[in-house]
Amino acid sequence: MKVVAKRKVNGSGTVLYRFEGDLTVYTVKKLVPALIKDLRAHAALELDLSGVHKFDSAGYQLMLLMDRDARQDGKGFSISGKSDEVSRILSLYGSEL
Amino acid sequence: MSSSYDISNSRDIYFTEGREMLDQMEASLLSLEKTPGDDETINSLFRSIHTIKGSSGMFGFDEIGSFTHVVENILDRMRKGTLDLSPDLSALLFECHDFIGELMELYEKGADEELSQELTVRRDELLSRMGGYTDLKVAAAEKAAAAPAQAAPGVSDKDRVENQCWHISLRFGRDTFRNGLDPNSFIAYLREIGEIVRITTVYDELPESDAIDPESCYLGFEIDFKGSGTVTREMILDVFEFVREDCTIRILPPNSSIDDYVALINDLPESPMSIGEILTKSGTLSAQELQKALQSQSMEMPTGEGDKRLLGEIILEEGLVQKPVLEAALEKQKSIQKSDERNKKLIRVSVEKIDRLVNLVGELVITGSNVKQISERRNDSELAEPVSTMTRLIEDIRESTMNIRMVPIGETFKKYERTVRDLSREQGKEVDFVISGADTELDKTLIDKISDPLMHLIRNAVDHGIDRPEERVKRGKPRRGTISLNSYYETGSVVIVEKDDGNGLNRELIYAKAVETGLLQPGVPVTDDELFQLVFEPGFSTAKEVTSISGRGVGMDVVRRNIESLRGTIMLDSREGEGTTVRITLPLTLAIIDGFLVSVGDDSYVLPLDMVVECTEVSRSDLQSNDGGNFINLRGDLLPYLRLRDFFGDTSNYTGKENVVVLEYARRKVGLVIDRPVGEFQTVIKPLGAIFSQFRWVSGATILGSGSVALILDVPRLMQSNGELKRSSLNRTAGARA
Repeated sequence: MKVVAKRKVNGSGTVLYRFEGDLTVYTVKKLVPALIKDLRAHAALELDLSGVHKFDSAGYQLMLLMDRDARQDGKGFSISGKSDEVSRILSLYGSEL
Repeated sequence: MSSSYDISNSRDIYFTEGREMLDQMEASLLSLEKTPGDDETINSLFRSIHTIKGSSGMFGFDEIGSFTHVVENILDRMRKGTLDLSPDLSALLFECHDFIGELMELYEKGADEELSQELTVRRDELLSRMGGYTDLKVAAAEKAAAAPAQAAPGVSDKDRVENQCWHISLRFGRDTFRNGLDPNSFIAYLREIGEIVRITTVYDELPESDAIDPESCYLGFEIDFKGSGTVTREMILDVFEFVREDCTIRILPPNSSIDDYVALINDLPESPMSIGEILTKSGTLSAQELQKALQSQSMEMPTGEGDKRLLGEIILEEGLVQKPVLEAALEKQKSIQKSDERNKKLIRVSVEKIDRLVNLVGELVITGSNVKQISERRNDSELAEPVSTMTRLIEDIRESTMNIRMVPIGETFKKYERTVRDLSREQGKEVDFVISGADTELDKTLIDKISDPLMHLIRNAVDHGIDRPEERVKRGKPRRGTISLNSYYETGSVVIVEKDDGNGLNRELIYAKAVETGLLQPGVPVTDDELFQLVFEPGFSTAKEVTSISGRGVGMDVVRRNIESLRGTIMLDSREGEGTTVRITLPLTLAIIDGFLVSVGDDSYVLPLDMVVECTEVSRSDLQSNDGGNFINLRGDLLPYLRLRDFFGDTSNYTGKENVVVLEYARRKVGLVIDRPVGEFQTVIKPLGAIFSQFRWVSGATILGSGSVALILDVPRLMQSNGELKRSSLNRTAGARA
């Protein structure tokens, strides 16, 4: 039910996030504003999801949103690490993220 | 709120509802044995197992899910009329019912563990027996019947698309997440009935990031799906049953015509181009097919309005083709709505909450009574009025609170129907089970506690009571025996009567046995009532043979003990060869009673007001004139009485007139001689400690406004004591004379 986000900006202007906890309908709401802001202000967004325990369709939807916005604005978006649960959901949806 | 709480909570609901569905299944099966082929009942049977299957899938209880799936197939055949319910099949379905119940129990224990060896063996055995009802012939016939529905008639092959898969379009509603549902669980469930060949997420609806509400669901999916084995449109719809309200589902069968895809493309909320792109990209349609589809669409486009009309026609066409399916789906939706409506009228509340409320109301009742007594003592008229209003309100609150706990006893009665059925078959007896008074309401705690003793009595009735069909005919009785259960209210208590028209008790046999075990002295005359009470003695059994169910002499004493612990009584009446009647009398509720306060010497006692019939003055001479007899003449009737003064050994001086309170319980009347009545008194029974356990005639105590304690007398026990007293006093006189 909780998520801790660690944020870092590297030299090439990529914002790196590492999430520990859940990316679910209960946690996405508070993450969205920061992520949107960072994507607008920086060149790329990279998310490390290897510490994500619970991942549901709301989390998946958030990934889709980031991916779409990045493409619309010509920015970069990638997922650098996936926990088993994240991989399971993404493959269930046949997602290429 | 934590998520683990959420899950365990809905798990609880799963098990509660699962049991309800199992009960419904059992009721349907029983009713089908009486009225075979009743459509409504078959439907209800199907629905019950279908719901279990659906929710088991959602919770990942795979064993239940896959097992019920097979049962559902059989029931589906019955529903379609291709299979009749033979006695063998009925027995098999009963066994399946029990097995599902055991599986639920297993999962409820929290174990996602493997099935035990024994359960696996039983499962396989049941599955193989069920296999007999799903033989190839039937399956083939069904396939043939299903085929025309899949292939739209009048469409030539070249108009069909190459795709061999079902095409499923899902669009989830905004509130899906908020309603606690997650699309991934349904997709995962879909994978259980086949293979997802392709899946594409559609999120065109996702708003601009500034306007997005991340807790709303904007997702949709285009899925190509290949069923393993025969998959029907209904089966696919079933997967999404729980998300129906939150999801628009469009399904195209394999090899649908291009027109169907045109309709689909038009129907979906996204632009035709983007859907077309998705369909070709994912390989659902070939590029040529899409071209053709878009062409036919654009050809009809120019007319504008005509486009809409045409769209309607296409859907109508599809509607006609799938009419039976549609109808079935509609009917199902209706039934879901119906049960929703029913659910809305009820809320589930945890028993603890109610218990707490009852306790608080109990305290309120005591305090209220105290205030009332104090106000009466002060004789303050200004205070008296609000106090009397308050007393009335408290009484109303008490009544409403107790009513919350009241449940009709019918549900419990119905459970025995199966017991009677199974037992009587096992023993080759023919028994009808008749229930009346199912609406009688009783405290839930009482119902829970009475359920086992009743079960025992009913097993006894089938095993010992009802005679074999041949013997019955010989005795001039109808071949089929009858066991009836009835319940009704009677002077502040509930009476449950269990009756059979079987063998009856053998008076001589019981007498002989009683003498043999030393319970009775030979040659002493004994009334039927007293004799039959011996049946409830520990270890007393007259059964010549011990069966698997009864005859070991264990049980009847436990039955009596259980009932007495509820402050109830049990009585037996029987005529040899004609049958046995068992009457159980129980208090309406456990905790709070309307009392009648009386005083003897300096002490106060509370009697249950419900049992008080009247209260009248008696003169000393009336009491003294019957030396040792303990009877008074009440307007010509002989009334046995107990003088509380003597009973409690109160030697204080009292010169006023004495009163007699006439109490009635279990159809017996008895008088209690007291000093004077004080009045009506609402009270909560406070249990007394173990030290007082030897005083069986006290059911508890309560605190009066003055702060002193009043004992609440247990009238039924007191009557027994009265009987004993009478006997012991007789013995004393007899002893004195000897």
